Amino acid sequence: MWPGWCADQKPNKPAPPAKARPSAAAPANRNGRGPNPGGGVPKKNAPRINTPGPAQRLLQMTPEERERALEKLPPRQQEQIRRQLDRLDHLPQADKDRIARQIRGLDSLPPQQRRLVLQQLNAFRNLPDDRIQPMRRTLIQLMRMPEEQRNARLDSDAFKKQFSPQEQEILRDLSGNLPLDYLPGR
Amino acid sequence: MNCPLETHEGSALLLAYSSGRLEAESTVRLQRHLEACSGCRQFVENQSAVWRALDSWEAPPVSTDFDRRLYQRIEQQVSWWDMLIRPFRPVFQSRSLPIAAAAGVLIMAGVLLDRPAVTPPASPQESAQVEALQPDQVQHAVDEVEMLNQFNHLMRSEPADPTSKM
Repeated sequence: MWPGWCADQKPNKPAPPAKARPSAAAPANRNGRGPNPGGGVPKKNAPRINTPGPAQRLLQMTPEERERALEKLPPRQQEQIRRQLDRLDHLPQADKDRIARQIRGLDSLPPQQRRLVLQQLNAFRNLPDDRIQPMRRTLIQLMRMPEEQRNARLDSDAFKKQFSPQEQEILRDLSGNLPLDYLPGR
Repeated sequence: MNCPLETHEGSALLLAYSSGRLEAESTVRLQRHLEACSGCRQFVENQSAVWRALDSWEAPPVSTDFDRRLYQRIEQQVSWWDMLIRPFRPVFQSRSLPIAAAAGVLIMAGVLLDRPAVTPPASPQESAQVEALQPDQVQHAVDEVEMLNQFNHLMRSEPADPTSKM
């Protein structure tokens, strides 16, 4: 069940350098070819290994390993987690791949940034129903903007009138830290 | 031209020529010398053989469960002896050991001649610390995955979207 979530992991993919925007781990070591067309060291794409967080490790566990971890929990909690896992396991593969990518992106963030993003993702999820759509649209717009334009928008009076201080924080933190993988349709 | 093999600097010249880094004027002079000097010619041919061997080598594709197997292996208890000889196992198992050994000697010679001062690489301050998932982390992990799923759903759906689920 769970190892299937890792089907799209391609450790040898080149990664952008890690900075404020979440990204994969540091670029893999590469040896380029020498100037002599007949010579040179072949390129080696070393696997990119990031330090996996709990969610990533969960996705990589075999069913046996997961069971060993679960059996140490109270029975009621075991049952709840099994229900959650069953629900998640029946997601379309594309959704699972997307979540796996998003988790890897989160795990590549510095711990403080990662905590902030998770906190704001959770806050976004818990918004009142009538605020979801305007927040969604604005977040997508902001994520697609260059940084300067985004900051100008976030600091504008019109924006501040449109959203509460908490909503503004959510939009600022998420638009500045989420990778483009989080945009719908990617 | 003096034979490059008889001088320390000359060996560097031959290595630069073999890797195509020698400037044009020196290349012409060296090529004229190679026509007459079998020793230097042999050196260049040996270097070229090494480059060709390396060029033909292709790294095998990385398996999709590479990370999982790596972490499992790191978690296993390994004896000090096993850790010591493990890097050399592929060499002993390889059928092309003589070629690999010769290539290794030539490359070593080239590196030593080209860069006499070799600084040992700094040992990494931290190795990847992989721990088994603790029971209390399982709930957090599942919650995180569920949260991302719900966030993705919220980011996808529009009120009038007939295909929206949940």
